[in-house]
Amino acid sequence: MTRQTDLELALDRYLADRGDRLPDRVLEDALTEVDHTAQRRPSFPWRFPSMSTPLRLGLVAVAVIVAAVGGMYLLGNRSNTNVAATPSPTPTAQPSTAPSSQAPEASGPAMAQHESPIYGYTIGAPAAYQFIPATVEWPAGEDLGPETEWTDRFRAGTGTAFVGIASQPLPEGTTGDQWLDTYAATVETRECGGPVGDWTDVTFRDVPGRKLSFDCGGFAGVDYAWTLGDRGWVISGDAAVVEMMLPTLNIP
Amino acid sequence: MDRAIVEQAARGDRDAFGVLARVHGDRLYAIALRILNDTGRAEDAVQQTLVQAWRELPRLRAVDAFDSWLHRILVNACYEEGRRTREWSSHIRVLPIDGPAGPDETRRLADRDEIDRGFRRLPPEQRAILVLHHYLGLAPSEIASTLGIPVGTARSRLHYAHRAMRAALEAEERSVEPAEEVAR
Repeated sequence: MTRQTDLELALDRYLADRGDRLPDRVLEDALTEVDHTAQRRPSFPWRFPSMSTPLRLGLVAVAVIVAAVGGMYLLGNRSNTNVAATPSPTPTAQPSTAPSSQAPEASGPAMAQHESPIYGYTIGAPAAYQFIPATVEWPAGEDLGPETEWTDRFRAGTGTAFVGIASQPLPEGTTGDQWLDTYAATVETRECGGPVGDWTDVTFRDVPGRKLSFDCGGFAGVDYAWTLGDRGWVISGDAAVVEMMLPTLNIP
Repeated sequence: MDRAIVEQAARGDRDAFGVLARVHGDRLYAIALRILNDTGRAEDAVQQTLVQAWRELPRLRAVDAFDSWLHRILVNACYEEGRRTREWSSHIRVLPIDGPAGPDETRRLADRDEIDRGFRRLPPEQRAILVLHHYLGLAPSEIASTLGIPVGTARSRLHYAHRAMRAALEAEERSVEPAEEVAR
């Protein structure tokens, strides 16, 4: 049984339908649990349908230019990095931090620097974007979404493009890989999470993480997830904007 | 699948979801049983799948893709079941082989036994690919759609799963030969 055809025929026979029936008690147990389970309301897509095509194309073009200039995202080592294996500071609820102006990057849009009051990181975002900071820390077991109060949200002024960032402590006894697996599983089933590719391993300033490109109503989205110290982190949203912002991220 | 029933269930109609669960339950169980090769864990995987499908159904955009969406949840549930028990082989209960073993069946059953042992050597990810292809009859493009991976990746995984299966069978043969020699 070494030839491919023999093997495939044998597998066809081995795996053929045997009239397996799901025991009634299993079905009943599942439906009983369903009776006590709430459905999740749709929290995606990350962007809103009113975004104009020119704006979309503009953002993509900007991202490409920024990449070409050399400041772009993963695999790059920045001399001013302070991403180290230390936990982020204790979160404290504060009002929104006003963005500070920053000189526009060469060929890029004007960027504004923001500091997350809950998660403590700083990041640059297009100056025209509105920053809506999280008011509570991301609870374990909850999804991220543009309306969730644990998501730091960056929205285009016209209310179209969107990027979300959040972080949570790793549950006790959970390894970084396990946390990433759990997060990946939630993305698999979300409305706008139909992945167009596998999660890929990436390194962000020597910190290992994962990346997933996904399709959201025909528009490209991306998730980056990684763990740092005892916390898990996610940045997700419009691919072009995420990749524009990510190189500016600093986690103390 | 009746699109209207899926839409009703997505709007929170539990009776409609019950219909879906009954229609798909046996098929889901058959797939899980083949991937996990254990009745208890297959039942757990199906139950998790149905509950998760209920929770997530409002987020399903393409109602026509309900079947493959459901299969994706199931495959992930099977992976999760697999992760819970690292020692796969120590928890496997051999599935019964149907039908009488008459003289003409002898060789076929021997082949089946060989395949069974080889299949049990594979990790759940490779079993899943083989089950989707050989049991559900999905082409690589359909496997890609079901698992949410590129078609090239699906082809590649299928190729490696076949290769791993051949290697597992050869390993089985090697482990049997010394015993036969001792017997002689």
